[in-house]
Amino acid sequence: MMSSKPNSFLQNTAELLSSLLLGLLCVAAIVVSAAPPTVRPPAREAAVFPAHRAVVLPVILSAYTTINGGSQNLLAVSNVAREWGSYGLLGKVYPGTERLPVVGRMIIPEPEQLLKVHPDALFVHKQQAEVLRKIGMPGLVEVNFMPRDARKSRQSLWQLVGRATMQGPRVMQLLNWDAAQRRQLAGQLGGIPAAHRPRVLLVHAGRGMWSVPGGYYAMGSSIEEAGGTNLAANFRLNGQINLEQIIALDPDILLLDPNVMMSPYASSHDVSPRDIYNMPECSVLRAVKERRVYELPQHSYTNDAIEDPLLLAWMAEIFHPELPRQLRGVYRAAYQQIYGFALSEDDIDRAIFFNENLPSAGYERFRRGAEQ
Amino acid sequence: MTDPVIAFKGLGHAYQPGDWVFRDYSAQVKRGEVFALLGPNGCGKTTLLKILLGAMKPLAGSVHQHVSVGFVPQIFQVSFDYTSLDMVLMGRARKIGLFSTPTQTDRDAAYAALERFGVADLAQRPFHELSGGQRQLVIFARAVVSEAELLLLDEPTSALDLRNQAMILDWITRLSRHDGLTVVFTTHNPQHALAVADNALLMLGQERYVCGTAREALSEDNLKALYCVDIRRVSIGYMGKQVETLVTVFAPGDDEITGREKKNASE
Amino acid sequence: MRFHWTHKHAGLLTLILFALLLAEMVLSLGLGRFRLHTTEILRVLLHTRLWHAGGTFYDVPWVVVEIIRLPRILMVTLCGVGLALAGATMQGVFRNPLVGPDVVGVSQGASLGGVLAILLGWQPMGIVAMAFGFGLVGLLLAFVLARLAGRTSTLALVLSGIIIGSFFSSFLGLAQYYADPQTQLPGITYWLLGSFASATYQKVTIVAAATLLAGCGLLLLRWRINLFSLNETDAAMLGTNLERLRWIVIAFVVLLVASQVSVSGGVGWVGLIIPHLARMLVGPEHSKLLPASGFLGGIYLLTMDDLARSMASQEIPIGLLTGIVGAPVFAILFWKTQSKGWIHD
Repeated sequence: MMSSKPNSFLQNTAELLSSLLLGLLCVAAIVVSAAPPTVRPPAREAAVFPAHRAVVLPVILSAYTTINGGSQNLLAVSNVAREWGSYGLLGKVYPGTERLPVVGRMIIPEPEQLLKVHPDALFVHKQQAEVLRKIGMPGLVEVNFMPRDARKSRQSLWQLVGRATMQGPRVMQLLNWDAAQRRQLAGQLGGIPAAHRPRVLLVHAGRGMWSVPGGYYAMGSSIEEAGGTNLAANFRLNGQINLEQIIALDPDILLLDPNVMMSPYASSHDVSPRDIYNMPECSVLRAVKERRVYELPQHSYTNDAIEDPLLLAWMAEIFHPELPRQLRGVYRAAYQQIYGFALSEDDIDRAIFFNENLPSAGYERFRRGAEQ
Repeated sequence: MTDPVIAFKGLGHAYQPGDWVFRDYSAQVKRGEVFALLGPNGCGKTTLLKILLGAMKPLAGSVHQHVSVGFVPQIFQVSFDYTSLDMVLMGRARKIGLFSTPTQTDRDAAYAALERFGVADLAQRPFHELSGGQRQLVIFARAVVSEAELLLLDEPTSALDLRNQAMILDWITRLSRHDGLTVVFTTHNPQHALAVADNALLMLGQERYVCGTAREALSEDNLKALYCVDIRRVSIGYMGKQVETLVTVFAPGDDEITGREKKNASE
Repeated sequence: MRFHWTHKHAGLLTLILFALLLAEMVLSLGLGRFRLHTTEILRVLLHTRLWHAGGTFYDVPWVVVEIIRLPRILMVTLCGVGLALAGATMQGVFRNPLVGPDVVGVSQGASLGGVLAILLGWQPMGIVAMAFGFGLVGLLLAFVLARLAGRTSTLALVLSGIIIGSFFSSFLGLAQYYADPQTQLPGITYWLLGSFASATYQKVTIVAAATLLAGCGLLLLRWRINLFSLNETDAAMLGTNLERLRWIVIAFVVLLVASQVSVSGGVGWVGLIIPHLARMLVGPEHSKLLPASGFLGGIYLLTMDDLARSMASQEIPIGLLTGIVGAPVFAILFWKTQSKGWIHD
């Protein structure tokens, strides 16, 4: 029978000791962190430009390679930066981008890994840089996005990259080219009265789901600049929309954005205008009846390189068919002028999704050789 | 007989406004006595007990009760596998400081109490593995170890076989006579009340109750009014003494029983 | 009882667990993607701690040990201890071995507060303050709801906690919906999945202070917590002022959980399964259970975090790891303990 009384002395001591030990552990932690070790400023100047061993985490690789003239001097990039930096035509211009080593998941910096790579310039989101500032990481180049003003955001990004790579003249060239393109477009669209602006809705289309990029998405202001009316201008949210809501908005033109990877509500780019025309439920849409559903040309997520003026040129011709047919020329000239790269006709077809868009009204105008 | 341990006056309680469970009850429990609470199902015995414990506030009336109380609930369930010893030690809560654990003194007292109730060999067994009678004894040990002056027992014999019932009644008597404890218990068995209680309170209805010595209160008429069943008081010879006990007359098939109920209802 | 031997030697076992925890903390300093030699680690530690020497960024072992690993290890350990203590206490107070710190709306409230702070672009201290404030708000709302229902039973509280928790979770979803997918969403998602990657000495101080007050408070109250696990009427008879004590104990639990959530986001399962394991080791009596549970929690979370930061070349969110390990373990425990017949009121 279990009538032996266990000795309670050890038990009581252990219990008392354990609260004492935990207390000591806490106090030790407080003592250790009360006088945190300080990082002395490094002997050398923090950032050494031009960067020879750069790491790029944010999705701005296109801007970097465009200004730097390629992916040389890059040690590693984040997986998403590489994905977008090698997408579309820029992947052809700078084929090395696709083979860059990857450091970090998404855009979150991971200090130990970065220490191992030891870059001399580290491009990082301002909001994510805290952890790196704390360890005194030299060469931080903090990228700050101003979602409300995409154009200004892009210009300051170019200047930032220009400073880090010491490519000031190159940045000037880009800025001038960008301004010139916009000026030209504004001149062409100057005489168009507001009543003739088509009502445009830009959607991400995934498997059975539609989503509308809200105010944060840079493309909204581009629609206005290209002579259209952005039906989602007042949408605050980045999120789903249903067919009934699209019918209620009654867009003249429905633009499909191929870049659905960043949208949590649509999974992949697998819906083309042809698919929309074949969906019986969509037949009530005016844009479908008038065959004015288009897939946007390839572009990166933030349009951080030269995509924006090209998209503007494309949109302007889609919105206003009376304009001269010059898009293919604009593409060729841009790549020649900026990258010294001769685009083939096939490259352009692929970039503007010529075959996918062919069933839509007026896309014949973009056929090779149809330029004016 | 000295000052009362519990005194209540004009006591009443209702769960729904106006729907009194009982009302205007007044009684006293004196130090060292055994006090029985009787009543049919749903008459508010447990409610009254909880009010006497101080665990519930009555809607009307006042209760004076200023001694330390030990409580033995009717159904005892624990969520964890505490050992019997752990359970008994919890009875020492008032003696154990806020930040301390049971000392050797507490453990010795707990073992002594378990030993006294003859369940010391169960000390390290999980409480919920014990039989009903064993659990009741462990909880008695816990009540004793708390050094309470007043024990409140909610139907201490209801789930037990006859042998264990006898044992519990024996302990009630002993705790009162030897330890000088005041014991209040509820029961469905008037025979138990007559056997061990000094005084009894019979909850006949909302405002009707009988309170007095067990011998007077547990009269045949009162019991008939209480349970609507014929209960006879008989005196029998037991171990050379004349002992009074109650015999319930169960007469299945007799329309009188159900008939009486109708008569009661029409009153 | 299968684990009777360990039940009897609970005190010894607790001390062994603490020793293991200390040993693991030291070992963890040497773990990580950046390989460091033991002598280097010792040199850095002695150098910094004894001579208060600062370092420069170019002393990479110094940065790795002092700035990256040490605060993280301290934070993880304290969070693990705190979560397990909070869980063991809650299971005792709610008399239900199947509850965890997230049942009374604290975790969800704290998460919402933290996410709002990120959305507002606040700095780390702001995130901590918001998480703590909303954690308390979550608990208070759950209490008010339980009272409004006219019941003070723990079951009513748990149900209100679930209601409030779901309500807060919806707002959490809404907050993600509003977040800028470029800059804020990745941070929020990562934080919600739980991560100790952003450990700083400042955060260590916060968690250590909370643990010192609430954790040691609970350890001191260790035996009293037994009384809460009794029937309410029954418990009320045994001790005085249990109602006030209940509030103090719950406030301690909130403090532990909120401080953890505010520094490292949602880390589930620790508060749920660790008390179970500890109960198998040392038995259900809380004066033995709480210390053992706390130290075991530290060991568990530290192991998970070591895996999270060194298993792959990229950080794995620790909330995912604790969930992947925790859910099956809990399923086994649930199945085993059900057959043992825990009684719920």
